[in-house]
Amino acid sequence: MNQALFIVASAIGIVTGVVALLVIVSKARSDRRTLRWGRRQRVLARRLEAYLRGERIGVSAALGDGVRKRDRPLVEDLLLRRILLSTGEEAGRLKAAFEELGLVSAYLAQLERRGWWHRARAAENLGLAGAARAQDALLKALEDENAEVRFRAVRALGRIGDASVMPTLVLTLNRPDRFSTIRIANVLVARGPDILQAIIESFDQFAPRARVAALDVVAAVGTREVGDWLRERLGDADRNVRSRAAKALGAIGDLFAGPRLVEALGDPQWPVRAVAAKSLAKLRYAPAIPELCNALRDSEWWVRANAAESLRSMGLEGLSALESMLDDSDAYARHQAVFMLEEAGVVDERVGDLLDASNRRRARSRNFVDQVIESGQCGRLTDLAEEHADLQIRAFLSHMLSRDQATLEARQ
Amino acid sequence: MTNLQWLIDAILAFNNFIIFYFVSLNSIYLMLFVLSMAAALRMARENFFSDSQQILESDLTLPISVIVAARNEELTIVETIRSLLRANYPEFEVIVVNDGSTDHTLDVLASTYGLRKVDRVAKRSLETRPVRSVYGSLSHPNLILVDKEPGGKPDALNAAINISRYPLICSIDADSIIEEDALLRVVTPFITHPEETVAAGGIVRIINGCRVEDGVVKSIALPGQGLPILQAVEYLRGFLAGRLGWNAIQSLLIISGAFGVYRKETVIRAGGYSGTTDSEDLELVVRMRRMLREEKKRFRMAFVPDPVCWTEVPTTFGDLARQRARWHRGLIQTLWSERTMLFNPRYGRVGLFVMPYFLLFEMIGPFIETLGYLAIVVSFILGSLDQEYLVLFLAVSVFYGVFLSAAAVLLEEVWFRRYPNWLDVAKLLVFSLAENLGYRQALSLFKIKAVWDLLMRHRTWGDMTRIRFLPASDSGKPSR
Repeated sequence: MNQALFIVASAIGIVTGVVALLVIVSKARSDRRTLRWGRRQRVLARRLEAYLRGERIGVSAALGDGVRKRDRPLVEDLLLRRILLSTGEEAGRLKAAFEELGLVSAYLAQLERRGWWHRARAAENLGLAGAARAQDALLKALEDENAEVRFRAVRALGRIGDASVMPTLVLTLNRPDRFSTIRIANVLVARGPDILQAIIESFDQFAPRARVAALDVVAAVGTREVGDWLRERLGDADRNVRSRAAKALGAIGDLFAGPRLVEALGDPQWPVRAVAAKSLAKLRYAPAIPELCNALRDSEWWVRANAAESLRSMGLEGLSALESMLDDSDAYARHQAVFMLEEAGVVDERVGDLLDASNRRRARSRNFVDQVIESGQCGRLTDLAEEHADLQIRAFLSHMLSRDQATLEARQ
Repeated sequence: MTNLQWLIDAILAFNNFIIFYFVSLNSIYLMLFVLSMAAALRMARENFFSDSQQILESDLTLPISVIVAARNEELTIVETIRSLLRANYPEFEVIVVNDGSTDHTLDVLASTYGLRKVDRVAKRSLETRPVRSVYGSLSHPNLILVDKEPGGKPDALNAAINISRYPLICSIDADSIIEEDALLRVVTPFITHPEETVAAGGIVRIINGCRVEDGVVKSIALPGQGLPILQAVEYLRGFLAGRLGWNAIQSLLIISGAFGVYRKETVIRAGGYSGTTDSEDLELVVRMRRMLREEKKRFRMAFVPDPVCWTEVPTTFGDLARQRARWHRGLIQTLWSERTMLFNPRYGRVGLFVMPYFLLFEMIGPFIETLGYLAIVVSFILGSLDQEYLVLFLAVSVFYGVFLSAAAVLLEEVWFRRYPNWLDVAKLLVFSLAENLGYRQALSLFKIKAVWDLLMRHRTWGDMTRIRFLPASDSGKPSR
């Protein structure tokens, strides 16, 4: 028994010692590698620069007498990092370098390897290397058993694929069990307006979630040419489609969408109303101001908040509408109007006019301050009564605040 | 002597139970470590792809409201907010809630960021103590300060949720600093699994000993004091060899309040943070799990070890005792309030395995461990201490623990390598030993005290003595 116990204790001790040793060895190796790789990579980077400047015809020649085996990962790393930042002729030279060094062929071979990470890395790198000849292999990789490999293949096709792969790429949105919709949408957005036609053509085949993601892509890369199509989507039965279409109309700046968005302010579903209010601000559609004032009294908080923001962003007309809301019977509408007028600097401006030489301006600002005090949102006014640069204004504002406070209390 | 025979027999039986208990506990730790190794390997393979730039540039990245509850944090709050405002993220707002501080927290924030009162109108999705004022900043439009009546951290976080505008909320402790890309990385699960992810947490590391400048950790090092180093080892074990393992089997029960991102809509539906326990982060996660399981929703909670939040840990045993007692009270309260989940197959592996583990090993463990040591002392007094038992006990309780701590350091060194100096790595290894020779036992006593506190209905938060972060240019000791 004693011996068995000794063995147990010793075994734990030895394993712990081995773990400690592994820690030390791991640290020593990583420190050494960092030092050695850093030095070598700087040398190779200088040579690569010469190749990119066109001083050498081939990358192998530029890097020295061929590329040594142990330098290959360093060179590959340099190329991958550089191509992310390159465009034009430099990107062309880098793509040629990938081919010349046999990296594209190596990646194609890696797409067949057992470890998913090899396949994922290969797919990603084929996209970065701009290897147009990898298109078929990447299309095949869309059916890989591993989600990361499938996504990397989509990303690579997004980079290098020609027009023929667009419908396939767009349809991956429709397979949320196989592809993350946000990640795919990002790939499609990176493709730019090229993708719009494929989305519009496939839209009816999409499941509800895919439709929403597709409309987000349209919002990000859409042009005014898709305005008609988006306006039709405002009549969709799905509230998510309607709200995303409203968002997209604002995002693409469709000037003809104003009246339809005003209609959407009366949608039975609040997300549609909230987004419509926001999009109207993006379009600066002034005829919507009366409806936006009504939306300030909406039963849903987000509609009211967005309507207030929209009015604020509509310039003088919007601000003037907000001022007219200061004596509204709806407390929330009054408070939101005060906040927006504060944010727009109107409260400070009016306080500055309290003792103005002009009778008209003075009267207007005093009336305004009275209304703000009556609204019950006096945070900024209280601050100004303590901090305003003009002593007389401070005194006058304090007087107004205390007087009105007394009146309010008497009324209560 | 025969009169004492029954006691000796009882102690021997208990001793056998103790051995069984420790073997079970450490074997679970070992299993978690193996799972963590596999998860770290997978993560390292996935990390080859840096998608941060794409997340940063994308219009579709979900905006985040970062929420910070602050009470008497005048020494660290400015650096914390500075680090948050520097975050590399496309769209975010920072909402700081001053929860009735009695120091100058409000003043230092107002003067540093030029805050002024605004009459912001908030939606009251969650009930909170009254808000006194809301402040905005002209120089930092995405910074909002809420000054409210004191109501505790959960109440302050709920107030921040009420005023937040974005679909994700990220809670961060007021004495913590996040790395510039931390938000980009922690949000990844919400992008890779957008439909299911409801929460994600990042790793928390200790900032004591690190140099901080303009809200950025400029140099990483362990402090000179032993107590924070012991906690550094403990955090490595807890996060790298614990949460990473739980995450691998989709059974995460804790997302640290120091750095966690949640889907706001789910948090609000679950009722927000609760003030009924002393560990609001644990309680919220368990409650969300319960709600989502009952709704039969598919969901994920993820732990992402890469994004780093640096936090200050106690430097005195008094502070540590209070902090750990509070955490343990929170665990007991949470297990009690969600007791219907325990051993209940309706809640899947969390009900059948994870919560029972927390009950049997995390909650009751300190008692059993302490009784095990007492049994040795009593056996010795009674002259019945068996040498073989003592060796076996030390092997399964202490040496096994040392192995697991050293293994966590290995995990850190192989995959994360945050400590550049050899001296720090050596410290971690030496303190892996020390952690199991006194520190862990002290923690057990603190946890036993937590039970006493609960029985006596003591529920003090236990404010920690705050220390200013070490500036990058300073070589002296931190000032209090």
